[in-house]
Amino acid sequence: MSAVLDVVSGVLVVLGALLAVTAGVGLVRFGDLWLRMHAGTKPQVAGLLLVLAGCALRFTHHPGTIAALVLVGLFQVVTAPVSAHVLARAGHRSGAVPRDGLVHDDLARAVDGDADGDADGARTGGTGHPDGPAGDAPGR
Amino acid sequence: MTPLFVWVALALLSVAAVLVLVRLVRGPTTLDRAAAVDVFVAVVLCGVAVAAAAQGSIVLVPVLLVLSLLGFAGSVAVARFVGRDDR
Repeated sequence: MSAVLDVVSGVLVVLGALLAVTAGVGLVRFGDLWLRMHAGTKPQVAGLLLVLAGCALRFTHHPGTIAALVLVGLFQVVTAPVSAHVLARAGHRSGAVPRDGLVHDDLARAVDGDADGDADGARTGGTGHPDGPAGDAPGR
Repeated sequence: MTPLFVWVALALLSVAAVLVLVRLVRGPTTLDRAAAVDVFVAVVLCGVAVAAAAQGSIVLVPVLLVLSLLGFAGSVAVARFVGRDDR
């Protein structure tokens, strides 16, 4: 039983380390900030949880340590989205990410200020009004 | 844990850390470096967890706790600074 647990924990740890390597390769090879963050968040959550699971299988005789390892995973799951959100938003705001590849850009209205927001509002208002009062209500 | 698994995992994590450091040195913008620091902290966390599992001792578990709680603070601070600076 103990030998089986050893092998399982070793496989989990090696899988987590493999995810870390894929993140490193993606971080070096990918082209802009968002792509790199997409590659880099794998070991931050999935890889770390795999390694912690493999580590916890070593401490089955010690429940307090398993509780601490669960806390480590929980903290990482809570804090990784915070830094990812702030980094992605700062990248959008500072122009570090090329925006021409975006299909839809809701953040541009909030970041670029009133000019873009007004233009966008006028456009949606222009298309919105004919549909409202002059539209299909009599027909239906 | 079997020493083979430990050495394989540590070698893979070392490769990952070197790749992340390449991005940390080369990264064209400060935000790329902040993202690389974030990933580097995660890799270090994995390495400390592997070391704790290999030794079978619990002295490294508080290190894991502190790193996972505070590791994100640096990149968040850098990101806030850059966002405010460029605005």
